[in-house]
Amino acid sequence: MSRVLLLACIGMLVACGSSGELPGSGGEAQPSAPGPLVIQLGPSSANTLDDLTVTVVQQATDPDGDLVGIRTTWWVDGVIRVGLTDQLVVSANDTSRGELWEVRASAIDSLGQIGPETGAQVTIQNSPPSMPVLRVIPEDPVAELHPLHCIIEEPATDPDGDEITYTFSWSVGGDLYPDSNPEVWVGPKETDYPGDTVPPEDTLPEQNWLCAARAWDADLRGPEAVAAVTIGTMPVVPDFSLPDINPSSATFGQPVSPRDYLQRASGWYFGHST
Amino acid sequence: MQQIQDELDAGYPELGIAIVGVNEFGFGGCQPEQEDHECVSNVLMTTGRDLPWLQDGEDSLAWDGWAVTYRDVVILDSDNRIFAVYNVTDHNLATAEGYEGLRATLLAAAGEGSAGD
Repeated sequence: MSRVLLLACIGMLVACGSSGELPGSGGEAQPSAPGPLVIQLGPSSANTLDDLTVTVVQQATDPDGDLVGIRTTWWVDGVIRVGLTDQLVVSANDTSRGELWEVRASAIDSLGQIGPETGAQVTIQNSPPSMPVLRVIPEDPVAELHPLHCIIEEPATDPDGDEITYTFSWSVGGDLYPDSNPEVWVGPKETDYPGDTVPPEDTLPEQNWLCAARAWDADLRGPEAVAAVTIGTMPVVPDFSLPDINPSSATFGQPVSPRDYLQRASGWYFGHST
Repeated sequence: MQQIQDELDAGYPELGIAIVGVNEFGFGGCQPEQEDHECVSNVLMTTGRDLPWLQDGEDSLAWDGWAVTYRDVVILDSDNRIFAVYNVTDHNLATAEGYEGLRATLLAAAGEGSAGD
């Protein structure tokens, strides 16, 4: 408390506020500005998927005890972003790979007194591509007949707009393909991307095949996506029963069905003479 | 077709491989009051042959059920699953290659060697 104020208080015997301001005195006592803040800007290795958040590690002190908030300004590569003033969080949508973001923060009291500025900064890192959605076609493959084609049903996206490539890998019954049996298997082959197709020669009934794929940008790989398929066998043909009309045949006049030829191979010629 | 059947019967009687023909519905060449086996087209197809020759019907529609095309030979394994479809327009049986291809495929379906051997 200043000497003048102390004397005035003693002389007038009136209550003085805790701030030491003398009522009706014309505000001779000057309010004090808050002290410095200690802040962090995170996450420390932010990429273009992360919101930037200011965290107060140590609150400012204020001699008058009337702190009301924090004032922030945001700077990108040294240029202020006016629209973000006083925000404590910046959306990831506002950031781009390689930008240097800096926040400068000060405590402010109820009288608008602003404390000293402290700063923190972070450089926006590269973000990996997202996970694609895969599917293996056909959905009901037949052993040794259908190739297995792992398709990108929904492509991955890269938050930074980087060009994306894909890598594929396969396993069958838990064994890596083709590494676990390279001398027997002839695949994989390429349909749209290298390694996205298993040729029919490499499939057997009731096998469980798993296709895995990742998207890559120039530096980072995205999360792995998988799709599974089970190999089936050719379905049994629909049965029918038709009369044999060849007078020379052993079954002339009798109904004949494919089921009559179970347990042996048969050939069914579909034709006519005209 | 008859010749292949005869060869298989002679060379591989234990396999019991059978060849059956199925005439498309409406292609018998029948006149009114004729039995199916009397119809001109069917007579042409059966003369000198003892293979079963079945007449597809309006109700059975075996052709549609098996989704075949004209002159397909649908080769079934012993479980009546399709082993191969061999079209004899694409593979002319009058050529050695076409003839041997069908014969070998029938044998392969019976577990005797493999197609193309």
